[in-house]
Amino acid sequence: MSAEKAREAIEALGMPVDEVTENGIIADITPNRIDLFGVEGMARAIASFVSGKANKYEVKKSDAKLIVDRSVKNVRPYIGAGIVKGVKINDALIRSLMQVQEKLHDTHGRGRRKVAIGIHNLDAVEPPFTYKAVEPRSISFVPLDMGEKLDLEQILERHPKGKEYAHIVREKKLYPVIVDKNENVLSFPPIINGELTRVDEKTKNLFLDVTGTSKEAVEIALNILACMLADRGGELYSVEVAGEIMPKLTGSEMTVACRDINKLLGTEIGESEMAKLLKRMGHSVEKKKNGAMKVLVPPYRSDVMHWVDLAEDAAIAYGYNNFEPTLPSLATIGEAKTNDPVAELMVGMGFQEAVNFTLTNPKSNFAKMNLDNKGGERMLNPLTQDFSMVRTWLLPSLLRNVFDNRNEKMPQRIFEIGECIEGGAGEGGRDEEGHDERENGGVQKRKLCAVITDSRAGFEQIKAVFEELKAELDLGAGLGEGAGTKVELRKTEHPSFINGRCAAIFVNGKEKGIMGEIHPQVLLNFSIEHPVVALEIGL
Amino acid sequence: MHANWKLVLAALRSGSSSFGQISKKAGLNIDAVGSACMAMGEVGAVKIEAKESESYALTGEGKKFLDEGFPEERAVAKLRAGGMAKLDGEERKIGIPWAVKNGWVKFGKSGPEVVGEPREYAMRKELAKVAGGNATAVSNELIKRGSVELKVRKNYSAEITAKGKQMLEGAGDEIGELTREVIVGNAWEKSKFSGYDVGATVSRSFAGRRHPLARLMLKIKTIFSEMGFEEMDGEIAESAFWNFDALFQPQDHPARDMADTFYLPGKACLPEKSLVEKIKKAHESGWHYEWSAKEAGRRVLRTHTTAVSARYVAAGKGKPSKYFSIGRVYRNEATDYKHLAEFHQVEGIVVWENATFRDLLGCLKTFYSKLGFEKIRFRPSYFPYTEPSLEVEVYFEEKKAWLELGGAGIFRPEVCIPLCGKYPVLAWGLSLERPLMLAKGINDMREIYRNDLGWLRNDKIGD
Repeated sequence: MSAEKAREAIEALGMPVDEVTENGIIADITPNRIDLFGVEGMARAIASFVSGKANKYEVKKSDAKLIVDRSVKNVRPYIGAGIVKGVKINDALIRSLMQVQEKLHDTHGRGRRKVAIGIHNLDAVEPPFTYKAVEPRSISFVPLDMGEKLDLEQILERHPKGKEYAHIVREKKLYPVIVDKNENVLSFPPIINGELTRVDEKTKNLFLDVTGTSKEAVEIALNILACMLADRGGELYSVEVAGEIMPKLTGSEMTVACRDINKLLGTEIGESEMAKLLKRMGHSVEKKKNGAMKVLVPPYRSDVMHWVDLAEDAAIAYGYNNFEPTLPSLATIGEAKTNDPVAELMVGMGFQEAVNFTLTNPKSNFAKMNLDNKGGERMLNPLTQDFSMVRTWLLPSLLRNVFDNRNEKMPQRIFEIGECIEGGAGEGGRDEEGHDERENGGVQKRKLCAVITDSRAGFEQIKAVFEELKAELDLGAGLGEGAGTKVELRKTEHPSFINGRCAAIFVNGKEKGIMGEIHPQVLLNFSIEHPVVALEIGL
Repeated sequence: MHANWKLVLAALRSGSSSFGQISKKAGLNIDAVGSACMAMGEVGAVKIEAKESESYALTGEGKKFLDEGFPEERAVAKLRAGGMAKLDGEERKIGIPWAVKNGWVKFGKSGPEVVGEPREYAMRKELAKVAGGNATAVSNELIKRGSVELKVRKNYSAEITAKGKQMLEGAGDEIGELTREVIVGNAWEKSKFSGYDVGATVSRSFAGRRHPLARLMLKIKTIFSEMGFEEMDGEIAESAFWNFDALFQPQDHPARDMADTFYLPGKACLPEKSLVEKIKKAHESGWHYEWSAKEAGRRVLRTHTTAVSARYVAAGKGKPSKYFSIGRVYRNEATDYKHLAEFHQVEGIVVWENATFRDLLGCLKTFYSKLGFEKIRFRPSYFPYTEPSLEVEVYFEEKKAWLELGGAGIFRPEVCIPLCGKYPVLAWGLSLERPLMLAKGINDMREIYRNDLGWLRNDKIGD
């Protein structure tokens, strides 16, 4: 197969190809297809896609047993195992195995917590094996890449992998190990294998172990490994794990009606054609009566949970871009929420709209505005200090805009209408009264802020804007009628504004906003050298 | 005679004046004075004299040094804080030699060592003086370094000539400013109007404009309304329940990691028990783990507006409907030219038992075509809550490339059935910023939120 053909197939399977180089093809894999982490899985998927045939896997019976001791129940309860004979271990296989193992550990295994994999030289040990949990100091063995025998606690302290993954096992008093008939340690999962069972190019027969906290996740990882080694020419043999024969590579059966898939996709694909599409995605299909299809899902496809997953597979094989798009024939009446009438007024008064981030930090939101660092909806885990809280008001953002535009022509009239969160839990993770039982914490509010800056910007200029907004803002009742709505200004003091040049806006006796001349200290905090007047009001 | 000529000549009657003084006396702006004087100079009505004066000004680099400190100051501060590795190129190449010259740094065995203190750095003080416009002399070093430049300005003054005086007298009865008296007093029937220099410079009258992102939102609102969609809205602080659990994202899913999601303090209340039970069951039978109500009660800044869709799907109880929303979403990520910690999503859902995958493709195709993107294609993708899932790409002619604009899919039965009892629900979450970047030729997403008046005042609202 040419690289170009392979590329086409990979793209048709839904993986965007970043690059085709002499050494290979680099493609993005979606995180649900953990069976495609290695070249073997990819080759298998491409082969089915092109040929329309699914691979079958056979597991021969062996006498090997793995005893699961009850002690692991509260430690790391699940284990799966398998034997692979006659596989030719070479560089390419080792690289691929390492890649698959690492990716399975990271994603599917959630950093080895949920699933961890061990691959061993079977001939160095002797079944039956035992999986048990032991006192950390009670067993010693030579871990991989170390020259001396260490006990389990010493491994956590000294071995690089021990240090990296210690947090997973340290939650429990006992640590899990896998030993053979003669108490030789194969592995201390999910930390490290023993040097004894190291796999190298001379190794002929492999023993696989997969341990974890979810039975399903453990078995899928085992199946993926077993299938990839079988694809490489290995012969699979079973291990009896606590009475259960593993690996089970029969796949899972699912019955789906062709018409259900057609109804979902909006298509009229015939049964044989549908079966062909599913086969190209690696499934085996058997037609039954009444348009039902018995689908055998391959043992490595953990993502197929429901018949809709098969519908997607059929759609992928059909080609997303081969569907004729239609519009839903559902008649509904469209309706957008009203635009801000206030925005129209502001634009009419010559104000330029700004759109700023709602994320900010206490320094900008409070300190630079001469306010105490109190309240606000703060994040528990901000990556950067720049974005560590949601703004409580808009004015600091607009002052920042004034500074950024210091070289643009004056006068500048800027406004923003946007979301803020007032209240909130504040710094300590709770609000002032210590409440933490809230549906949504702080209160989200939509606000308007307008600023004017010029060599001579004064209170009366912003008051003129207020007068214009007044008619619109006391709405509800509308212009003239009033219907009891009373908008008034009251003299107030606010640390961000000049004393005596600042007014609070009251609507029906409730404080809704503030306006005035910005305090020179605040201006200098923002490195602004011209006067700024501002108005901010809740909408 | 031109009205401005008359005003300027009148202002000059008492003798020679600078353009600035004329501007005040005549009540004209300085550009108008300049253009009138130059024109009158050519006809010999005034005599113009230019005197040069020198002043100092900061260069761009000088401004930066004033704000952030000289490289040598920064270098010393960083050396103290952590050593050579933290220094940027400028601080290494320029800062270190100057710091050595100033006696702040000496080279010891283990590299540079701080030995002095750049407090009250004379050069920095000089820059401040220049910035304040009070510098009459500046040290040579600052000019050589390119931090300060000498600006030579021409100061013009004008003097009225005999011809000018004659013209002023002759123009006595021409009408200058049009006033109420002129109109109703019929003066305009008897005298001529003085003419204006229509080419004279006038500064622009800046209009108020909506922000381009807001205009795009209005356009999208119109498009979805036309397509029969009703707008929905929700809050930016959301519970993990609606943001993740209701959407079948397992509680150990990497997207729920602290590294990707902003968590907020406090606890959220969960919705009614029967719904919580259904969600719990869907998770436990689908993902095989023990679902935790406590984890679902954590508060987050919503990572997608699909949380809003989930609420509407639940509230609608399966009634056939089409909804859209545009809202802010948050990711706990470092920002760069194509990633922001906060951006907008264009969300849509179709709740209807007969809706199909082809309908989903059709909604997206129609939307983008109305938005001006004719060439669009779909690519399989993966989201935990949709199946099938897809990625939408549009072809951008200028870059000759396919660009990813958003994700879409059909909500899984494990999402739809617990929420509303009906299946399927078509859904999408598209980027708002990317189409704007394509339309306006913006390469850095952060530019959209910088509110640069140079950009905003020149943005074409007809686009």
